[in-house]
Amino acid sequence: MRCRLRNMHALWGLLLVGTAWGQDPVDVRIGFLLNFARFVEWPETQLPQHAPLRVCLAPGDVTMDNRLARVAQEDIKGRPMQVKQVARDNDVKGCHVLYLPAETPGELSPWLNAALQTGALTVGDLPDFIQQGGMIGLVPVGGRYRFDINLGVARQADLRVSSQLLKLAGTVK
Amino acid sequence: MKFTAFIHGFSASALTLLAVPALAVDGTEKVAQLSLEDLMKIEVTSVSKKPQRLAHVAAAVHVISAEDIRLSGANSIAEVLRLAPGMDATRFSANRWSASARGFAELLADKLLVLVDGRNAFNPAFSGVMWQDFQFPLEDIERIEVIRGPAAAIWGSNGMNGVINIITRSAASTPGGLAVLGTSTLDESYGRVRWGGQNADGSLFYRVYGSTQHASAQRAPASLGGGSGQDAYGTESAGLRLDGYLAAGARWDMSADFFSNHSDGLALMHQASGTTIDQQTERHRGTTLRARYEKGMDGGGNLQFQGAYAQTTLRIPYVMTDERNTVDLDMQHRFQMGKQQELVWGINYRLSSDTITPGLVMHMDTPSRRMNYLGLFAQDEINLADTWRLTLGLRMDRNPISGWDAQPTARLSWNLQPNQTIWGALSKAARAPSRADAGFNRNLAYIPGTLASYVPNTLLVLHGAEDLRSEQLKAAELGLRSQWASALSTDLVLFTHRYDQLLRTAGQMTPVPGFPLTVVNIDIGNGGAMTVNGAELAADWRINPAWRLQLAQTWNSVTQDSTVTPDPTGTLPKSITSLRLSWTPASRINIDAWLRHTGARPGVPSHTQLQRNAFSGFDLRLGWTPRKNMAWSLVGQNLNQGSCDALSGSALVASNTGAIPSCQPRSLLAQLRLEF
Repeated sequence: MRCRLRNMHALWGLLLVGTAWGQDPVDVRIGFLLNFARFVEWPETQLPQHAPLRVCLAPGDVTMDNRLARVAQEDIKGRPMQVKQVARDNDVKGCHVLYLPAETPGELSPWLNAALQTGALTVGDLPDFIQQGGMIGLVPVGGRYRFDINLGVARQADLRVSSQLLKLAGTVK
Repeated sequence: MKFTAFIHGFSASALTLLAVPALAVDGTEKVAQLSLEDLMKIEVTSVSKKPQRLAHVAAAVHVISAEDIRLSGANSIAEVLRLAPGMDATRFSANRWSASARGFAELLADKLLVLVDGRNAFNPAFSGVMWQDFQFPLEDIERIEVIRGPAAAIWGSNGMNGVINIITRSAASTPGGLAVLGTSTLDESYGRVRWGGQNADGSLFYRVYGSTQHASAQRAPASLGGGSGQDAYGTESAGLRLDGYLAAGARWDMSADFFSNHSDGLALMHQASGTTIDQQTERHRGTTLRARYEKGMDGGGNLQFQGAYAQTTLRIPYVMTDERNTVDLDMQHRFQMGKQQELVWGINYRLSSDTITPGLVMHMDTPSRRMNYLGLFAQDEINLADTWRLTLGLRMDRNPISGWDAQPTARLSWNLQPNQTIWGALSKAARAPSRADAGFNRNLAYIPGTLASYVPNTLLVLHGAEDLRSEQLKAAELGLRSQWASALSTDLVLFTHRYDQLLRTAGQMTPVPGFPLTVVNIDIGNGGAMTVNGAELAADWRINPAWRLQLAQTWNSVTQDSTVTPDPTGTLPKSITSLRLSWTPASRINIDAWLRHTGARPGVPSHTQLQRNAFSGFDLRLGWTPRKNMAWSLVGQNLNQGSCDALSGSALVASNTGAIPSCQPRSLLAQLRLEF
């Protein structure tokens, strides 16, 4: 009977995967963001062992702001995670990951420069994000997200991107 | 008992069902647990916050992704090109392909530019590419950008009807090993192996590959009495790529590729003694070295240098042996000027030196030649208002035969809604005469005489000319790119191409009377004119996560404005269709059906031999990925009928090379892909 029950669950699970058609893009973006943090290594000087990983979010995407708080208990490769909203590019210091939504107000380059100074991984969903100097850009392709990596910029910030991540990327620059 | 279990099961399931809205609320935590591979499979409600750059581009661009290539089941680059609207790509025999856009899809198509990682891959001998020489692994391709219509303002002469931009993956994204092994009833067997890695500090990445492919001979067309098409084929290639990252954010990459192949074929050979059908084995080999340095500048600018060297030897018995060394140097600088303008300018230099040894049906005026090409270009993209963009471009090209060509373009795009872009373009483009146009003399036809009435045998010889001008094109294009819903997009382009000064063979005729043989020399000259009007439609509909429908449809209409011999209008089909249906019944299984149709090529009354019948092909691919690192695929090609893919009936002199096509039978291909 248990077995049968499990089968039924599996069936519904399957249906749910089916209805993943129309998954909320904000959740998926957060999923990607956490995975990127898992596949990147920071230098010891930037992120000492067991130190918490600070994930910062630039303003513009309110839904993402709210939802990110819900995953604040997640740990990233054994590290506790801290979520922080940053209002201006001057506040980026101390961030390990900086997410720049497409709605980020103003110019992108001050944010990218500030992130480079502090050695933060920049992730964004702005069109042509990596062409503009971002490190990992989420790109919508046919109803799904793909991502591109600008390895040159990531290396400038002394970040090591794992080969698993590079392998799954659409474009590596 | 059973009933209780059912009730329990049902209630549990119903609970799960009821829990759906709750799951959506708590989704963030769940989704956060998913792996990257799973996240990439999730279909989202609406993704595009702001449209990608491609949505604004005021040109007919179609991108073929690595996934498209994999799911197409195609095993050669030329066949992959069929996925793009406007492309007329045909497998001519087991080892020959032709590909062009908006007409001129000959075996030696010479109005389409092909770039591999920015390196100009066309052979100046005839200004085209030999697709059988493009055998680097399909798995290494990141994407293929297909630009139809004149792209000469940036890419230069030869980008007259379009550009095929093949972009291979960075070595950083191909770590570890990959082996692809396949066998087919058409391509006997093939294998590709790749290995990639990096240095200790992750600043240098490498990849090496080796590839081999063999095809057996197919059947000759019925009009030739059937029998063997004698078109067996074998190729070996190997290469490496390095990608390096420098401290200041600059990057470089280099690649070295080597290939060697032999391909059999039947060809009509016209000599003083008569016309014969001969079997010959071509042997091509080549080595290419390419290096590129790219540096990002403050404010989003970009500076790029590239150098390439290619050494090729084409041995085509009876016709010629072409030994060639080509050096390319390119520089390109892109930068922002003020807030509203993006400028790109650059310089290309090409030196190609050759030694050509003529065969029995060729004579050379100059057996050895050094050809210098220079190109200068600039393009300004101006944001006129939030939704209006104007692009102005000019390229000046100098070639050693016809001198300077100016190739301007003006393009305007308007985002009338965030997901609707209308664009229009006016362009002029030129195609520089090739080495063959200028210096080759080739036997064109042999007409037997009759001894009884003292009519001599006649040999027509085509004479290259030095005083040629470039072929000219004036083009107008209008496009509408729409994202109707997150799952449905279309891309429609209307164009009119007006060609002028097309090279034609019926120039000056000089008979050299004799008995039993009169030789008639026919000069190549400018003077042909024709107009091609057409529409190209691409549609992509993700019906639901499991089903996807992709259409690439082309309509052409052609009129000849002055006589061109041989008549290129015969090479333009009225319609080309590619319809693909992809079905993912389970996450590890892909089923892809592909229907292709190419309409009849009209031909003209005076050249009925160029007329070609319509043909259709139906392919089916079954892909199964039992494990993350293992994939099987089974592909059936031309399942509807084994057909003479290229042509049929009396169309023997299909191409200006005199090459004879063979039939493409139904075929079955099985492939295993392993990552390690």
